[in-house]
Amino acid sequence: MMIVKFKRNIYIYLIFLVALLTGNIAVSEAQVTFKATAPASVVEGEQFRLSYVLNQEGRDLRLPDLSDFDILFGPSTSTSFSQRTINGKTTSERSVTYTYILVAKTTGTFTIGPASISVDGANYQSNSLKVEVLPPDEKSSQSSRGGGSSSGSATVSDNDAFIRAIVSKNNPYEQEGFTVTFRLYTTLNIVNFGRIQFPEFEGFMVEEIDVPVNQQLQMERYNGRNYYTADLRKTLLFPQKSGQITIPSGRLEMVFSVPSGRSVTTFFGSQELMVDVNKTLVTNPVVINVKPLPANRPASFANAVGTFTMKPNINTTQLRANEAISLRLEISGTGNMKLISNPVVEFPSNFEVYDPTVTNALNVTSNGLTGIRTIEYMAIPRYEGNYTIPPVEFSYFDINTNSYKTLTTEEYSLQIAKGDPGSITSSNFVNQQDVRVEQDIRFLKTGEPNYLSISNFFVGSLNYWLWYIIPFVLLVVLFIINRKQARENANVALMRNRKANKIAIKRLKLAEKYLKEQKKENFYDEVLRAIWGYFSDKLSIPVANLSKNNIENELSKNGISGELISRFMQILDTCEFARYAPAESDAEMESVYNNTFNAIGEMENRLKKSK
Amino acid sequence: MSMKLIKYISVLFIAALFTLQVTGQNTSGSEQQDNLPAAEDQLLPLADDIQDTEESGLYEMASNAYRNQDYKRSIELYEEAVSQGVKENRVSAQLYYNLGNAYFRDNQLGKAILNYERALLLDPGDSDIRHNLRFANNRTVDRIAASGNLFLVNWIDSVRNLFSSNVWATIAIVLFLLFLLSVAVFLFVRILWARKTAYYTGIVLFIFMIIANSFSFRQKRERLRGDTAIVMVGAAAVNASPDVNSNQLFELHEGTKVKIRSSDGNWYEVEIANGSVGWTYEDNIEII
Repeated sequence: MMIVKFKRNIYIYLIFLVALLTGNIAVSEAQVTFKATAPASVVEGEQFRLSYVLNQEGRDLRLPDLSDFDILFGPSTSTSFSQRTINGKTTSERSVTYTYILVAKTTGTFTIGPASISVDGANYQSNSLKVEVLPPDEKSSQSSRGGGSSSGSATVSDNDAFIRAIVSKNNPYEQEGFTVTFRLYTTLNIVNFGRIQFPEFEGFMVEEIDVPVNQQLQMERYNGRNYYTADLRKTLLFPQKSGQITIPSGRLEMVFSVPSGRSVTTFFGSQELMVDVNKTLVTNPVVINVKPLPANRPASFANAVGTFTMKPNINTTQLRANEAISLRLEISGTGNMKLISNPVVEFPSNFEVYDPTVTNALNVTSNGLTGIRTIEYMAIPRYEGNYTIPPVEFSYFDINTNSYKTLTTEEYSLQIAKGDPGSITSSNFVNQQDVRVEQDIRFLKTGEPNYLSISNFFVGSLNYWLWYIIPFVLLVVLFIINRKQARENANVALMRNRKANKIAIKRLKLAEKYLKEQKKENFYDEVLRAIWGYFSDKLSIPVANLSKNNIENELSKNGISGELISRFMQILDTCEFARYAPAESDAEMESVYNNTFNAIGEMENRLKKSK
Repeated sequence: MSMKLIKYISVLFIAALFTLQVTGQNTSGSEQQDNLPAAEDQLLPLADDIQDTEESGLYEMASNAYRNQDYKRSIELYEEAVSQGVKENRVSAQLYYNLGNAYFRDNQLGKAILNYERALLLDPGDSDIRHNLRFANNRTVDRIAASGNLFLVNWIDSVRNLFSSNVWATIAIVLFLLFLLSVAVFLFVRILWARKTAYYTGIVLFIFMIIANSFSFRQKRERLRGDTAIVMVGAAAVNASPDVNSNQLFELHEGTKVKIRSSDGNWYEVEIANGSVGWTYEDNIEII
C-alpha cells in the first residue's frame, strides 16, 4: 500500500518535472541565435578556429565562400546543455557548436560572409566576420628559443613581453578628450598577474572606459613580430591645462611561463619543460602636447570642447507671481560634457533665482563623453508685470572646425499676473530691499566740453577785484550824496522857519489892502493862508497835512500855552465862519486883522524862547 | 522819501552791474586775443573757427570710438584733444573724465585714475567724476588706511570740494553784493526792524563771503600746486633714499595716490595716506 502510493507520487513528480522542462524549452525555442566567431587577426600559415554557435538543433549548415583559407578540418560538432535555477526560476540553454579549423593562405584582410542554417524549416543567417591575416613571424622561433637556451636559466626579454601606452591623439586641444590604452604585448603564455601600478594622470580629468574582464587575446603585428595583445586599461583623458604634459610610466609585475631549454621524455615523446618567470613590465612615458584654445573666445564660452547641440525648454511663459518658472537646457553631444560650466541665464533682477540643478546621462566613448547634460534653472517671480529673459548663449569650441561656435536660445517674454494674496504673505518680510550698488563706471559726458584756462583764475584777477571795488565805491558815493542832501533839506526847513514870520506879515499886509478895498472874501482867505502857511513853515508840516488838531498837538508839544492856542483856534474859526457869512462889519474885520497880527507876533516870541 | 532812496539805489546797482559786465567781457576778450598765436592780424576769425570745429570733431570722433568699444583709438583721439587744449592754455573736466573712462575700459588703471583726478580738480563737485574715481580706486591693489584726520577738517574739505575756485569766487561776489545791499538798507532805511535785520544779515553775509573767498583761493592753490601724483607702473619700489641700491621700504601698486614732498634729481620723496614716506624714481609716478 505504502509503496504503491509512493510510486504514484514519483510519477506525478516526474510528469510535473518533464512538463516544466518542456515548457521552458518551448519558451527559449522562440529565439534562435546563430553566431560566427573567429579571432580578429591571425598569422599566415597558422591554424585558427572558425566556429558557429547555434542555440537549437539545426540542419544543413552552408558555409560561405572560404576560398582565401584552407579548411584543414571540420566541421566538428559539439553540443552543450545547461540548466540553472535562480530564485525558483529554471532556465536552460543548449547550444550546438560547429567548428572548422582553417589556415590563411595569404596576408591581408578578408571577410568571411554569413553562413546559413535551417532550424525547423526556417533559414537563419550568421553574422559576417572580418579577419586580418598577418605575415608570419620570421624569427619568432629563434629569438624565443635562443633567449632561453643561451643563458641556461629562463628569462623574458623586453621584446617578448612589454606594455605600450597608446595615445589616440598626441597634440589635442585643451579640454579635448582623447584615449590612452595600456596594451600588453606578449609572445609567451601568461601565468599570473602581480602588482599593477598604472601611472597617475596629473593635469587631466580622467574617465575610465570599461574593458571586458575576460577578453580574448588578439594577434597584432608590431615591429615585425606577431604578438598576442590584450588591453589592460583604457581611459579617456581631458587635459586641463595647455603645454607639455607627461604621462609617467606605470609598472606591472607578471609571471610568464617560459621554455626552460631542458626537455624530458614522456610517454608522448620529448617535451620541453616550462618555467614560471617573474618579469616587471614598465610602460613608456608619453608626452602630450596640449594646444591652448584660440584666444578669441566669446564671453559666453562655457569651457566646452567638442560638438554640441542645445535644446531649450521652458515650462510656461504665462503664470502668476510666486509660481515657479523652470527653464531646462539640454546640451547633447560629444566632448567634455562633465566640465561644461552652466550657461548664464539672466533672469529679471527681482526674480528669486535658485541654483541650477544638473543631471548627466553620459556614456564614455573613445571620442569623449557622449550623452545629454540637462541643466534646469528655477526662478520664482515675486511681482507681476511683463519681463523678458534675454537669449541664453552657450559657446563651445568645435573640434571639427577648430573654431568657436555659439548656440543661442530664443528670447522668452514672460507675463506675470498678480499672485495669490495668500502666498504673498510668505515673502512680505523681504519687501524692504537694498538697492544694488552701482557695479560699473558711469558713461561718458556728452555734449561740448567746457574749457577752463590753465593758468588764469577768476579769483585774484583784475575783474574779480573790480567786482568788489566798484559796488563798494558806488555805495560810498551814494552815502555821501544822501548825507549832503539830508543836510540841505535840513537847511531848507531852517530857512523856512526863519522866514515864516516875514511871509505871514507879507500876507497880512495883502489882507490889509483887501480890507481897505472892502474885498471881504479875499481878506479872510488871505488871513487864513497867512496862518496856515505860518504854521506849516514853523512846524515843518506840509500844508496839505495840516489840521487844527495836529496844530494843537504840535504846539502843545513845543510848550505853547493853551490860551495862545485857543486864540489862534478862535481866529481860524472866525475866519472860516465869516468867509461864508452874508455881511460883516468893517470893525469886525479890523479886529480879526489886529488879533492875528498880535497872535503871530506873540507866537514868534514864544517859539524863540522855547528853542 | 525812503522809497525813493531804495529805487535810486537799485538803479545804481543795476548800472554798476552793467558796467562790470562790459568790462568783464572786454578783459576776457583781450585775454583770448593774448592766447592766440602771434599771426593774428590776418584771417583771425576764420582761423579761430577752423580750430574750433577741428577740436570738437576730435572730441566727437573719440566719443564714437568709445561707443564702438574701440578704446585704444578713443584714447588716442582724446589725448590729442587734450594736448591741443593744453597748447591753447585750456583744459576741460569733461575731456579728462572721458579720457579716464577710455583708459579704465582699456584696463589702464593708473592712467584712468590720473585723468579722473585731473577732472576732479577742475570740477570738484561733479558726482559722475567722484563715482568713477571711487570705483577705479576700489580696483587698486593698495589698501592704505588713511591716518586719522579730524572730523571737522574732513567736513570743511568736503564742503570746499563742492565747487571749483571760480564758482566759489562767484559765490563770494554774490555774497558781497548782498552784504552791500544790507549795509545800504541799514544806512538808508528808517524802519527799525528792517535796520536790525539788515545789521545781523550783514554780519553773517560778510563772514560767509570771507569763507567763500578763502575756499576760492584754496582751490586755486590746489590746482596750481601739483604736489600729488599717481603711481603709473604695476609695482613701484619705494626706497629709503634716492638711490637704487638703498633699502626698499615698501612697494606701491598702480593707481595709488601719493603726495610729493620734495625731489632730488630723478627721484621724488613721496608720502602716502598713512603717513609713510620714501623715495621713488620719477618714472614710476605721474603728477596730477
